[in-house]
Amino acid sequence: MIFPTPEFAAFFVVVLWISWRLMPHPGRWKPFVLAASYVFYGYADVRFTLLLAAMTVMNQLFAVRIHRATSRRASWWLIRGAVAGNLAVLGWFKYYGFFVSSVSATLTRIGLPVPLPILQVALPVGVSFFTFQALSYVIDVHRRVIQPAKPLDFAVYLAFFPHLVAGPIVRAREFLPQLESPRDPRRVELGRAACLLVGGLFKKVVLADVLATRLVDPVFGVPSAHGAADVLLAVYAYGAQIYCDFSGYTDMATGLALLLGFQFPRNFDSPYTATSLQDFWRRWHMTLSRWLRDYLYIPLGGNRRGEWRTRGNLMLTMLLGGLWHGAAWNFVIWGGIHGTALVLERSRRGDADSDRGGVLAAEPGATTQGGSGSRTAVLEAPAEPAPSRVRPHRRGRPLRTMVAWLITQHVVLLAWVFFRAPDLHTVGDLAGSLWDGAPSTLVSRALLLAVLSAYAVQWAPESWRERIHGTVDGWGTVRLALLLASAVLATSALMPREGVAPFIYFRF
Amino acid sequence: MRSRARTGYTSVLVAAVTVLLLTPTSLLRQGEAMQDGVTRSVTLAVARPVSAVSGALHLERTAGALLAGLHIGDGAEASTGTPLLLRKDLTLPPPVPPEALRSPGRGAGRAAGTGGRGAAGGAGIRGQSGLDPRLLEDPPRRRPTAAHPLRLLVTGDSLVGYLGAQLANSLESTGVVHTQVDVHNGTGLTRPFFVDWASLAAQQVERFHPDATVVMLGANDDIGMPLPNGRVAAEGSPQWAAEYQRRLEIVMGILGQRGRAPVLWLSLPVAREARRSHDYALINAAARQAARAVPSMRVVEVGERLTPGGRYRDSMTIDRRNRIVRQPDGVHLNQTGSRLAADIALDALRHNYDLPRV
Repeated sequence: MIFPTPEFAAFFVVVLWISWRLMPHPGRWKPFVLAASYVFYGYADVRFTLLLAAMTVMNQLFAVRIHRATSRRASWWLIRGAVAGNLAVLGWFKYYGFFVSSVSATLTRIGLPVPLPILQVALPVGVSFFTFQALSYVIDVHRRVIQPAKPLDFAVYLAFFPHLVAGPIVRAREFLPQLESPRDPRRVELGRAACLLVGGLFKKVVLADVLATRLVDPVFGVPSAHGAADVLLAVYAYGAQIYCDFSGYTDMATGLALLLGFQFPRNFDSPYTATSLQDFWRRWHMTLSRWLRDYLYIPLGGNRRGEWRTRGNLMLTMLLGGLWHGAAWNFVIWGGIHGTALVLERSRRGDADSDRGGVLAAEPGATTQGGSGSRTAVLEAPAEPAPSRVRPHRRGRPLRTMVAWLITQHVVLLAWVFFRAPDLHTVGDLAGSLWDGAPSTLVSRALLLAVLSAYAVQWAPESWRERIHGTVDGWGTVRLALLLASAVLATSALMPREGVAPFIYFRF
Repeated sequence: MRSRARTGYTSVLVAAVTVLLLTPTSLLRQGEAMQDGVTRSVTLAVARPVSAVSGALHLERTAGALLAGLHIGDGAEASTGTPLLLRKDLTLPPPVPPEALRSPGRGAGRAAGTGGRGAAGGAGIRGQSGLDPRLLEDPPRRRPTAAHPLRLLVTGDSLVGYLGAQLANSLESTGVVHTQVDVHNGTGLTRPFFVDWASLAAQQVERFHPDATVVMLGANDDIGMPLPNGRVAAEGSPQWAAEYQRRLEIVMGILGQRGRAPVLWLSLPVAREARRSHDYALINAAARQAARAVPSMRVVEVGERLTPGGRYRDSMTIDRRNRIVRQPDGVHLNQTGSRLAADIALDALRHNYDLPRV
């Protein structure tokens, strides 16, 4: 089930009503929400609910055993087993065909053809997301950051339908406390929820899908049929499309959760205003970048094992981050571009970042301490001072800031080209078409406006957003209903006849 | 329930009902496009009476007028009337006589440099016994040039996703073919209330003026089908197969432009799921029957290369390497598989056109 569809609307209307009816009775509310989440997930393919259930049972068992482990050594073996189990599931469903094909191709090239069994395994929607959430849970239990939750609570956390298939990657320590007591119906943030739903719908249906069908897909599909103007705009358009598509989904997910009384962490913070790659990764897919920071980069040693090791850790984190997005070399290259840029940025800055605790996303007041603190093994997060939310741009140097912004955004766009292109051949064709002076066949005022809007909205002050939320928060039923209905009607009118295109991040 | 949550719930409910009353046709179409089952039945059970109420109160018409300015419009606008595919009185004009197809007047503007030789192989036009024998002859192969390029339309459902781009990329480099890829994901011949492929095909011909068309369609058609008489033919039944063939003849006839333009129908390769494969086999059989009736339609057997013997496989040996050719869903072709299908389509296209090798 995807969000902006009639079947989801019918599902949500029913679930929302029953949820608040049952909310004062957690013993009934939790099984209901769990069942609703499984219905949501099983709508596309009921077999995948078995996988979700199995992941829930496996991780909960590991968490409990880890918590009860009588020795640190036993705990270490258990956490390794948990990580291996989760990665095995992800590896099988997502990477088996890719790895075996790659190995087979390599062996053939070096003259050792081995008939490996190549299979294309069906990919459960959202497996990357809920696997990462499950991993964060067991690792946090191992680090003594949290205690194992009750089985039903953990099951609800993992399967909660607003974030199940495409994030945000919510941590157990953020969600489980919200389950401890019934949500207060007087504290529902209606204004923010409505604005997120409307804004998310607009970004996804009006901006992302239109840019995709009218410009990005035709150009990336057949680059040689288009001239420089179309190719250039398509590249910028893809940057806008992926932002609108993904942040649109996140906004809708967050809005739905708010209506149900739950808070999700923020996932995007105007990423196209970043003036450095470091800053970009503090604003783009924030829940993923903090996951990579806390469960990969820092356990690898972060920036505390010398400069070369730091660079290696950065690069490895970004390469694996790229691979997380998909089983294809273009995603690895995408990660590699970001890793290289981060390393170069760090080299240019010198050791300025070491006092700030690392180059990946940092949360104000966040700590990553846990475990014994004295050892810095792979799965243990050593205590670190909370990095401040540093803005790398320099006040009083607007020209330098502008140049830094331009360079950063174009490095990001270059990486997006690899992310979007189906293969390297297409990247080459795109590059070749940049020298083609053929007149544009696709660019129109509407498309230009769509691209500019997607970028311009990033510069809107946070205060404007807060003001709008506050205003809408004071509205009554009629005005809120009018707002939601108008948004749905308008986006339906703008939607292509075949309906909403799948969200980009559903593939991951 | 106190005020905030109640306000939220009530707002969502009122908004949903409002949208339903103002755009019931949209829900009807969505319901028509769904797989047979409880969801579809419930959706249609709600949408039909709401549509009747909305129509009686002119609500949808009013909303449509207000929203008319927002429509981007990419083809056949959805109408509340009977889709062309369901019209019992729909007839296509007769095919153009072969002598008219070969006349200098028709060929001069667009077919300069005609090869003048018959197509190789036996994959020419097949017809019923009542047809003019000249229709059974392979047409002379036209040689497109830069001045008079071949306008090729590649269309269908999501099966065309990578295929269209592969074909277009290959042919673009020749400089004598202009390819238009027009993909309509999630559509098929079984749900004309969702997207009416007859109307769509007519608009494609009007818009793109294709000299030839490559079609790959049917991935979403493994469901029951509403008939012109109002009943629903069960998936895979003889009535279903007969109706599917009829719709194919209509759509391919439109794309074929009275026999002027070859229409290459790519058969559906076997899918991982047995049920789907069974339905795809019926679709392919219907296509072969339809090709007997539509002068310029030819079925291109993709399955012979991708799934020989009718057995599904994720991977196959290409250039001595074992490569995955299907997407994880076990239906669609991936990049590699699409490249193979594009090569097969290209070979078939060469029966009609003298194209440079790519």
